Amino acid sequence: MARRIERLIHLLMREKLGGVQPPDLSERILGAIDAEAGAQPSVRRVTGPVARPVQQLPQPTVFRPWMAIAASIALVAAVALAVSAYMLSSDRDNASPMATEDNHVQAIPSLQDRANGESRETPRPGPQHQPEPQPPEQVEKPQPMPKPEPTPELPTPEQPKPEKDPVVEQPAPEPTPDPQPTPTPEQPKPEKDPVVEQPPKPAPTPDPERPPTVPQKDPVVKLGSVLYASDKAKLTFRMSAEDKWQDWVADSAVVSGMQLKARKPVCIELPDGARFYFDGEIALTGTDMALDVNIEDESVYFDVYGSKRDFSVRHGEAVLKFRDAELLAERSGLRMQVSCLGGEITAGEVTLKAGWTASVSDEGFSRQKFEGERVRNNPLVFNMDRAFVLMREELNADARPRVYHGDWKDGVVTGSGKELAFGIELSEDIEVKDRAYVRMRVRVHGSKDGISIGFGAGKESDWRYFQSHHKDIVNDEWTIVRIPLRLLQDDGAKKGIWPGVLLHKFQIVLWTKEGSSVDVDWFELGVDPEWNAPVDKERK
Amino acid sequence: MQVASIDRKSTFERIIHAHQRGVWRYLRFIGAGRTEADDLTQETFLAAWKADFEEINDAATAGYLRTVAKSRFLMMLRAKGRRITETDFAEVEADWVQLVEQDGGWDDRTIALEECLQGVQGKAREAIDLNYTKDMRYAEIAERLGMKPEGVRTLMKRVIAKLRECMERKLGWPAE
Repeated sequence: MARRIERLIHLLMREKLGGVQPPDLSERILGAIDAEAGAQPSVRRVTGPVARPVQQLPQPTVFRPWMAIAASIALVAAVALAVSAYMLSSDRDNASPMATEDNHVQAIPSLQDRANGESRETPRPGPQHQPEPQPPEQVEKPQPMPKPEPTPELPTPEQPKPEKDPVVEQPAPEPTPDPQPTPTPEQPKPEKDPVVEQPPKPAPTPDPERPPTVPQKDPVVKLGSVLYASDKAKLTFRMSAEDKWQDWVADSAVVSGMQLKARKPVCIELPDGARFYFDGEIALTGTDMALDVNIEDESVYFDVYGSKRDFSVRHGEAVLKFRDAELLAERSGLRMQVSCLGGEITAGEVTLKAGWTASVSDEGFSRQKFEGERVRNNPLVFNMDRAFVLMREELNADARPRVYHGDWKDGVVTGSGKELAFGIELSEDIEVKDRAYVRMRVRVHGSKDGISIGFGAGKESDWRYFQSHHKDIVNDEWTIVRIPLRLLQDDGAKKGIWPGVLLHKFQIVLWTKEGSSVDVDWFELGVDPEWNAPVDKERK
Repeated sequence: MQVASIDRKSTFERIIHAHQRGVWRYLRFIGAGRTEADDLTQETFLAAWKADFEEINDAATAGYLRTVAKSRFLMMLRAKGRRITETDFAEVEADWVQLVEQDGGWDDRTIALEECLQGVQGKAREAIDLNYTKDMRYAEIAERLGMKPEGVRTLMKRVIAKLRECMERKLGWPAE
């Protein structure tokens, strides 16, 4: 009995102190019952609102009998509409060639659908589309009709569908941007702003659904650089399956079309500060606005919060598109297993939130499961977190008592004030290391002169305050800012910070005192690998 | 026919809402991990649904669901080739009923624990917080508190024993 009482006490404390509450599995169970009964729910139901500290899948629609009746009526109406559409369109001179007699009710795929289809046919497309503005046919247009009809098979005079696939057949628009880096990895890395990782400006009509490839001539698109690869990683690359694998040369550029292979984790950083890590074999294609990663072997961990780029990761037929999220994708036989570590990822009608894992196939998500914090135990995620991050503050509810300036709401702290906009005590004192940096996701409003960041160091009796000022933060946009700690200077003696200092609190000050504010989503302190450290650049 | 089916389902929905937490906790009590408890809870209710389970009263329903849950748990252990540490499940079941289901249920146990925890202070309380709130291992706690890992283990054992005695007093559980 004593042993069982102690077991019970253990469980009570896990709930009371650790917040490990029993989840609400109602929807998940009912979904399983529906599936068992053969009543296919309109939305795949996997789980209900789970009373856990980590987010969960949204509560999906519950299947009801009237839905089946409504669906039947809708189906009959759709068929009738399609038949009448065919009758009408067969009389028209400008009927689409897609609506031939063999193909009465076949929907003419939208440009986007075609592009997607094209992408599926070529899982790892070679050439990439360019950053230049696309010709009108290649850019997904907003539907000219005020109300987009769900019956695209009916060609309307206002919206004649192009007869040929413009994505395939249009000549590529072309003045290629001149100073393209060469495809060879020996290409020197372009200078990057050491302070602000500014996401690229969004294209005039960014299209999250657009696949990253458009056949055209053969420009070289630099995607990023290798931020970290241990000696044991034995990183190699090649530009096509026919080529031999070659050893990676430090400071080479990662370019579109490249295949990479490593035995140990390798980190690649994109120009906007987004990062991904892999420890197997991958193939990359992309542009400055999109990145496609094909997993040939092992896994890829994306930390692309704050990036405006469209990402896709695939293995075989399974493809997942996402943006502004943190996720782990692993090869799992013919399938791909994904874990959402932050943000949201969606396939079809199912959205995974942080802490959830699922299997991805060409039909979308399946086998969703809540793993909570355990998703971070994957060796790739765990090792990369440990290799780079001294601490990471997500500003979750547990951080709230430590925020001494700013208002906490749903994981974001918003602050303003003449003296101080944001202030937090770190969860534990962090010792400054060589090559340490702070990285954070912030958004400022109404600030003309940027922000100052500062760290309070030392103990109560011996406070020092180190700070540095940064102007290059765009107003009203979430931005990932990365600042080497060596830029921080002692408030009084103007002495640079030195390794060994214990950081205790973190603050942000806005230089525009009136009408300005800052939102902070997260921040982390990390250490650059030795060979990646900037060679004593001039301090800002 | 369809109305009967809808009625059955809504009744079952109510049963799920009323008992799922209890089933989950019971599974954890008999040794299931968190994810395992999630899956097994779902399987338990699914099995009850398929078995055309009929409700008599709450206690009987809870007992029936525990039996299904236990059997699913054992099946899972066998399938995974894991060792079965509990040898007498009839006794476990009886202990669960006595420790949790009687007199106030889980909420009363939580309140009693809170009161007992107030008597735990100093390094012992720190160790408890680090272990349960921050999910730290003994080695990490030892480092934080300037102790040896073995010392932390001993400290935790003592604290849990103290809490057990306190809970036994408060809830009238039989003392060892």
